[in-house]
Amino acid sequence: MSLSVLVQPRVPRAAFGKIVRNEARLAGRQSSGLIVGVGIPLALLIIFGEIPVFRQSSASLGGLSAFDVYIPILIAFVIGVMALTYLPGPLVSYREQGILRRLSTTPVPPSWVLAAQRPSGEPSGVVVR
Amino acid sequence: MNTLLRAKAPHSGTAPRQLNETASKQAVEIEHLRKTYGTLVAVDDVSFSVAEGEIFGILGPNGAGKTTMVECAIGLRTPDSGTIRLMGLDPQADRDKVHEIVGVQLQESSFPAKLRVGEILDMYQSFYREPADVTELIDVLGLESKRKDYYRSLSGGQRQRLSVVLALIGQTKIAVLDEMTTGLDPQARRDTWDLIERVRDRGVTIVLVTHFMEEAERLCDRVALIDSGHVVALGTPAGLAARASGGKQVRFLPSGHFDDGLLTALPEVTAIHHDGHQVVVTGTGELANAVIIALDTVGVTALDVQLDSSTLEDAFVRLTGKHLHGEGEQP
Repeated sequence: MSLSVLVQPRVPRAAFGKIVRNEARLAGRQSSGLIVGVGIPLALLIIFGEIPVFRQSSASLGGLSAFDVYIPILIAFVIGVMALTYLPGPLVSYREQGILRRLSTTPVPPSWVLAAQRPSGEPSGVVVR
Repeated sequence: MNTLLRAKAPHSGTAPRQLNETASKQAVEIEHLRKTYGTLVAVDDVSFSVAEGEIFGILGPNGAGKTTMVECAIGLRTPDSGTIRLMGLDPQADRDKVHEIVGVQLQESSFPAKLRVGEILDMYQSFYREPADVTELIDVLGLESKRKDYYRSLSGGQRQRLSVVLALIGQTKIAVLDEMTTGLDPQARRDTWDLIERVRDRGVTIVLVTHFMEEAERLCDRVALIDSGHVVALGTPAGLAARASGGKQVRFLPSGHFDDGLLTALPEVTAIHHDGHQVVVTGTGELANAVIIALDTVGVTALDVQLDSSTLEDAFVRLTGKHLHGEGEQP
C-alpha cells in the first residue's frame, strides 16, 4: 500500500547520458565500420584519381569528369555503410546475447537503448562529411 | 521444526483481504502460478511466499521450471494463470515500479563485449536512484583490478561475478539470483555467499535459484524443492533433510550398560539399535544432547559420539526419486 506510493517510476535522467556515452564508445571501438566505411571509399578515390580517363572532363557529364561525378556516389555509399554497420549490427547482437533482456529488467525503458543509437551514431556521420 | 510448520501452510484458504494484510510483510507472493510452452507444462500450480529479509532458495534439477518461475516473477514472461506480487506489486501491470525494486541476475545474459567493466558498472549504477557502493561490491568479489578490462576479456567466473554485482548494484529491496555461483571456483563461491549474507543483513530479500545443494544449505532460510514444475516440498533446509531421512542419527560407545527403555522414553528418540558395541539412536531435534543427558542420569558416558545428519540432497533424492509427487506429505 504505502510502498507503491513511495516508489515513483522515474529513472535518473543521467542514465540516458550514460547509455549514449557507452554506445558512442562502442561505436568508436568497432573498427570494421571505419575500415569499410572510410578505408574502402578512400582507396577507391585514390585509385580512380590515378586513372587519367576519369580526370578528363566530358561533355555528356556537363563538363564534369567521371571522378567529379563519382564523389557524391561515394558519399552516399559511406553514409549507407555507416548506417548499416552502426545501427542494426549492435542492436542485433544486443538481442542475440541477452543484453536487451538484461536491460529490460532494469528501470530503463528499452526505447532508450534505441534512442541512444542516434546521438551516438550522429558524430560518425558528421565526421565522414 | 517450528519453522517447518510455519512454512507448511503459507496460503491455505487465502482470501483477498488476507493478501492485502500480509503485503507489508511478504516480499514475494506467488499463488497458483502456471506457465506452459505449447503442450509442455513448465510450471504447474506453484504457490509460495518469501518474507522480507529472507533468503529463499528455489532448488531443483535442470529443466524443473525454476528459471521459468523466476522469469514470470520478474515480469520477463507472462504467466498463463496465477498471481504474483512483489512488495504488493504486479510485475505485469506495475512493470516499471517492479523493475525499480528488484535486481536480477539472469542465467543467460551478457554485456557488450567491448565495454570496460567500469563503464558497465557506471551505466548500471546510473539506472537506480539509490545505488549501492560499487567499490565495496567489486572489492568483495575481487573485480577491483578488472575495472579497466573489456568485458570480453573476462573469464567465465569473472563474468558471473560481475553479473552478481550488477544484480545488487541498485540496492533494490529484492534481489533475484539465477544460478549465481555456477562456474565459480570454491573460493569465489564462498566469497559470493558471504556477500549475499551481508546484503541480506541490510534487509534485502534474496531469491536464489540453484541446483547446488550445499549453497542452499549454507545460505537459505527456507527452500522450495521443485520437480517437473511442482513444489515438492517447502521448508528449512535442515527441516526438509530431517523429515526426508526420518531424522538424525547419533552413534556412540556407551561406557557401561544401560536399559534401552531409558532412551526410547525420550521424546526426541524414535528408534535405537545396537551395532556391535556401538549404539545407534535415531530421532529428531536436539537428539545428541538429550541422549547424553539421559545417559548421565544413570552414570553412563557416551564415548566416541558421531552425529550423522542427512543433507538436503538426501531429501531431494527421496522426494523426487519416487517420481510420485502426490505421495509425499507435501502437496
